[in-house]
Amino acid sequence: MGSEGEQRSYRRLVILMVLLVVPVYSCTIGRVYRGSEIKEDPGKRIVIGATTKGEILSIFGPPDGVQKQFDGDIFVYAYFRKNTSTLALEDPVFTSMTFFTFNRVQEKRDSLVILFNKDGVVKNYGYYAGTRELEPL
Amino acid sequence: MKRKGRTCLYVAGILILLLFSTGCVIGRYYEGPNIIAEKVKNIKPGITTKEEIVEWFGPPRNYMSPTVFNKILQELDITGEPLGTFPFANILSYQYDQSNIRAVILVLFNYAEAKVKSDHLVIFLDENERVKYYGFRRGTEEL
Repeated sequence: MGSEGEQRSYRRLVILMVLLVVPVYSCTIGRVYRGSEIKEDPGKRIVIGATTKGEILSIFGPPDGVQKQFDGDIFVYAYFRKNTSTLALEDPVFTSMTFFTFNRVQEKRDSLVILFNKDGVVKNYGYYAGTRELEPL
Repeated sequence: MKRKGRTCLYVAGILILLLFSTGCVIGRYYEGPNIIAEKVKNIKPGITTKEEIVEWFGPPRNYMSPTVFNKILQELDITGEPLGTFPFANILSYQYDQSNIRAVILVLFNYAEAKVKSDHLVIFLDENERVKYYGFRRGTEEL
């Protein structure tokens, strides 16, 4: 009787292992960070009509891009982040088959664009903190 | 008793298989010449000339083609449009890129992370080819 009970429990164990391994749910999380965060608050540090190009460079550092216009330069600052999450139902051991995949990709960036006049003084600026909208998963 | 041993062997086999399918990846990528911070301190707006800048830091990057690393990132659709575009004669740009990649592969759960940071020096010249303004950021310290 005892050995029959043991056999039954081993059979259950094998079934459980098969259910766990073939197939398995796998979860993959990916993170990409590119560039430097815009740490200073442009609303507090930039005064339209007063802040100069030299001050902008000392506050925010070198821009990631510069564009020339007929009436002054444009500085572009950008910080890029990408979050990916994938949930897959697959059998990686015996058949390498994927039965189901859920993939989620979020790409967001913080962007700061500063427009200068010909004298190198801030004419206007635009700021968008997109990375705050990133969800953890 | 025989069956019990066989079952144990199967379970052990599956566990070993799972164990050997796990892994860890660490990658480092460095591109461009180092920007020496001590030399950056010597830059004096209105005094330092273009010749001195080129002598201290070498040929500026904006005069050269995009780096291999940036091309790869674009090709793999990892990041969007390229940053660091300075196609102007009165701007000198120097950049040192460092990328740290790490991944843990545990079959059931995998995690991958890539951080790309740059030390960046941008110098604006005036009409006399002297430094007008400059900006420097040591982004690789954030890694």
